[in-house]
Amino acid sequence: MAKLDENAVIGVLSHTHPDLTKGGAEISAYSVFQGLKTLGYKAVFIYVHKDTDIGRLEPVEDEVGIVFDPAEYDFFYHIGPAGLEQKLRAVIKDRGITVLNLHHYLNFGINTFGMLQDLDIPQYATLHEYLAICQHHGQMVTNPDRVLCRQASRLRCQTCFPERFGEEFDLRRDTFQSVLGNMAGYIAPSKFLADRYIDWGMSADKMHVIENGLLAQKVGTVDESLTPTATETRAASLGSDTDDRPFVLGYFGQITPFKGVDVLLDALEVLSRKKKYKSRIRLRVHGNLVGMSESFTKRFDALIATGLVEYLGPYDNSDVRNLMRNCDYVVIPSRWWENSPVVIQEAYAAGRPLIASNIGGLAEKVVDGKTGLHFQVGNANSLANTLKAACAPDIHAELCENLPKVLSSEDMARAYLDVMSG
Amino acid sequence: MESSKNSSLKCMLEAVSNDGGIIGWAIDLDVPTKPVTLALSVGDQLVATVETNRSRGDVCSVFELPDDGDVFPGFQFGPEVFYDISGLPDMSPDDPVIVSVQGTGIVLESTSTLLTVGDCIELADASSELFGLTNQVSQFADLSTGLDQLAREAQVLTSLAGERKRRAGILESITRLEGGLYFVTGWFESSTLVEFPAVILGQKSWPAAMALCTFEREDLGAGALAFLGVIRTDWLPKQQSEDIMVGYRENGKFLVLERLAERRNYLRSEIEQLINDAEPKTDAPERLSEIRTLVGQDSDWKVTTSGTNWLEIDRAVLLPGFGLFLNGWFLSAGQHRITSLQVRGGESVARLDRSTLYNHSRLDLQTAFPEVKDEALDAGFVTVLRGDIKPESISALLVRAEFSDSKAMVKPIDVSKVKVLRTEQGLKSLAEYYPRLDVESFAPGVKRAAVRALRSRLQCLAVKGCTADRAVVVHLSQDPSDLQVTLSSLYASIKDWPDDVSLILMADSRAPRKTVQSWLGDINRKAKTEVGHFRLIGEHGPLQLGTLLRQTDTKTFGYVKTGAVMKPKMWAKLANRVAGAAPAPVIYGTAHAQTGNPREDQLGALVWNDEGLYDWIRANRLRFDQAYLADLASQDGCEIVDDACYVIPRLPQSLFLTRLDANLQE
Repeated sequence: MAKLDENAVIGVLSHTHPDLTKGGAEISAYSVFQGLKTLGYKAVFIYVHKDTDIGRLEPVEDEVGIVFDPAEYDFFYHIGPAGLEQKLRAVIKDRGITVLNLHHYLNFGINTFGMLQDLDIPQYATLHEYLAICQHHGQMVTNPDRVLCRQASRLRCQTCFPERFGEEFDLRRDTFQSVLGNMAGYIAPSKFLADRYIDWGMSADKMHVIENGLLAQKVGTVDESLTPTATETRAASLGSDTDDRPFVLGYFGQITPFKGVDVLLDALEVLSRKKKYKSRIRLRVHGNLVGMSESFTKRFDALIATGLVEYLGPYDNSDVRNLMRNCDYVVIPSRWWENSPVVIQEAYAAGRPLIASNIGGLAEKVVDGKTGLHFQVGNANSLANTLKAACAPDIHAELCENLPKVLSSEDMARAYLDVMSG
Repeated sequence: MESSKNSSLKCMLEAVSNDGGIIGWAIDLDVPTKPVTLALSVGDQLVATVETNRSRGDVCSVFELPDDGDVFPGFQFGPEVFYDISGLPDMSPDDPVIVSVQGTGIVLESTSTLLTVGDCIELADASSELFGLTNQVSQFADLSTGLDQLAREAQVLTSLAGERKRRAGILESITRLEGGLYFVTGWFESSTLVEFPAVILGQKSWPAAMALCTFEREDLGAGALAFLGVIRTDWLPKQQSEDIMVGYRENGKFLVLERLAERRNYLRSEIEQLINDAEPKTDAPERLSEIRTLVGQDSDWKVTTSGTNWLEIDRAVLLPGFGLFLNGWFLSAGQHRITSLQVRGGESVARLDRSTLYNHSRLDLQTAFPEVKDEALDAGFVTVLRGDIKPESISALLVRAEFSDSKAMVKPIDVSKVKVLRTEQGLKSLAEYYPRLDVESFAPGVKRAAVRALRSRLQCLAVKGCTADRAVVVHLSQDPSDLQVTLSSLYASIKDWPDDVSLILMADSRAPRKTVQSWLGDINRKAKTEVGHFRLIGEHGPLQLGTLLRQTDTKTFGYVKTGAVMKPKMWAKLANRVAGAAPAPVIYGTAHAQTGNPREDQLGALVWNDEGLYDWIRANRLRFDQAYLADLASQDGCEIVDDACYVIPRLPQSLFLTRLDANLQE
């Protein structure tokens, strides 16, 4: 590894702080920051927040919060408020920052990053989803039908947002590409995401794939006394007549219309129609409901009442490994491409295989038949069949044995330093 | 006559218009928080007095006073003063009308000819035409009552006094639905489908049709048809709304349906059953579909009201295959915004094209509703909704609005306000009044008078800076996205501008002030010459552009507008005439003109960007045909100079029409 200058000061920019929200992008940014510090590098974590969030943030050395007004942010072109660039410039100068790792243009605004390019400080952007490509929350699914979209174009984007002119999408793309194009490099947590950005026009030569590393203090340690464990032998498979305990599926994360929890509920209902399955399978849902319809909520409540589903609400990331170890599988039934959900790494760290939709970053990170099982995205019957197959003791044991080692924040930081060192 | 030049009292008469009255500002710099009383007089006759009571951040900014809610230098005499003046006895049309600071003898300055009694008579006529009868509606107890009264005054369809009404059928049931809609059934003696029935109240009939569907019924004799459908009465005075009759015109005669003494009220389930029963019998199933929509079988489009939000559609122009132009107004007691607007006709839905949304002032609402203050400045709107609504659906259009308080409203659009444009007709006239619908209602003579009065009265605060030979005037958009991208691009690029080019920002009262001010501060820090900031008054940007240019030393300027613009030729005429400076402003063309209007690909992108602007400073982005420019020169005495630049519109109107044509041909 070519060493970065030992006097280098690396500014890690995050669109928010993980103490405020628990999204993958801010956790990833914080993980790099902590990893760099552990390796002995000078790093500064710079984030933006609303003035009303001040009470929720602890002053920490090497962490700098910049107040911004979200009302002055434009969510179409992603133009940040006036004055933000100057505040950022002042922090960069004050801290002597020599390299920038930009984790999300959200809240900062792509214009702010563009304006900093006259500083002659190399910028490395970590790409977290497809927001530069897709106005629909960066999900690359159509609006309002939520059909998977494979490529952005003026026509396709205008079909999703007929209230906008095609030229506006052109300008949006050009603005992003002109700023991103001047950066020294890009980091994608998955190859799938990297390929999407390359197809969109980003330079393949500057693109690097680095998996997100887990932040030790955020994920927590494992309480080995909890059961079941990865090595526990399952006595019976799903549908057998023995009275062995049910197979437990775990869902972790926000429950939004993009996450496909409805597909999971459909699959459970399919299985529960047969008595022999009904008593042998349970789902534990961890996370909060965001933007779900009333009909979904009613159905969700009804399934909870049957005992088939257990709702445990939001969770603290430091508990996640223990929560996962109380499950046999972690399920990610997303209806969108995803990138590299941190839940995958957390499940691997907890010693649990995954059942995931067969698309995008999920298909890449969960290796079918090795570290988990795939099902046809959005297809409840396919998921039901996969669940039947998954809940056989020998398959579960085999999958558990093949789980990969996960990256730590130090591993992740080393890989970043590799890229930054050219 | 005293002057305010050497006094602590500073004042200015800024605008006179038939819809806004007389507008200006006055402030005593020794006691800025103290209201100043203005007197309007003709000769020795006092017509009206008014105190300054309006916030004017631009005035505060010039005098470096805090605009923190304690200083209110703005004033306005409402349009009613024109009536008062026109009714004064023994006045000559040439007598001057004067606004002075009461008790001081200081007369407010204006730039050119004085306002005269003759002007006021013209303006009173214009006001009368603009407001219809509403200016005679004096005081309303509340917005709701006021709205009803306004609607009642304004929407009379036919006066039936003295006209003999013939009974032509029976209204068998009237069932009240939500939002002033009624489900009606009955029969009438006719062999044709009734298109536009009316609701009758007293001696007047009112447009009422939404959707009616006819079918044969066994108990009726030959020549009679049963009907069912939905009529609208939400604009009627509430206390009488249960007492309606229904009639219609046929062959020039007005026919009335007799109302049964014991009319029926149906349950919703019964209404649905009646509609289902009629389905196999009618030959107009599309009408049944509309009726289903109106009675709210589709839950997303059930007619509802939103108590604190008022939305009215004054005019809807349907362009088949393209969409719908809407002109209306919106008021909210809670200062809410419209976040979504849709119109449904049959199964088709047209959705808001936000980039075409224009807000404009509706000061007439202040006349109707005294409690409406500054919100009237933003109340009017003109916009396009895109979607293929069929002309057959116009009698049953529903508009659905969602507001920033998460509430929604669904209401019918009065069929009498809907017009259908065919491909071969109307596009030109549509282009004429879009996006300037707010002034289109003027009769030509009145419009000329208003423009003349405005031109002579407009006086704006001096523009700071702008001493460079060349200036770029950027007329900022009201659209928040456009505004952000424009200002951030200027901020990013202005340090690279040539030394002899200054920037002037034009912003009207609807542009988000905080956004403009914060970017302006940043841009000023980077700019080589001071950036001018010019706040527009009302809607007359090009007129004020002329005023602006007279205050600068610039010899050459470009006008950049990020929203839709008026025709370049009209702009050129206005700018040329209004500026009135010597030498006359130069209008630039190019040696590399191309035939016809500017093409989209020549602009690079319809939304201008900093690269485009940067290019513009050195070279052209927009090219006009030489013949066109020569024509301009011959008509308006403009000088044509090669290899220079002119206007960079985001959406030239010609292009707008081109788009419409292309869309219609598909």
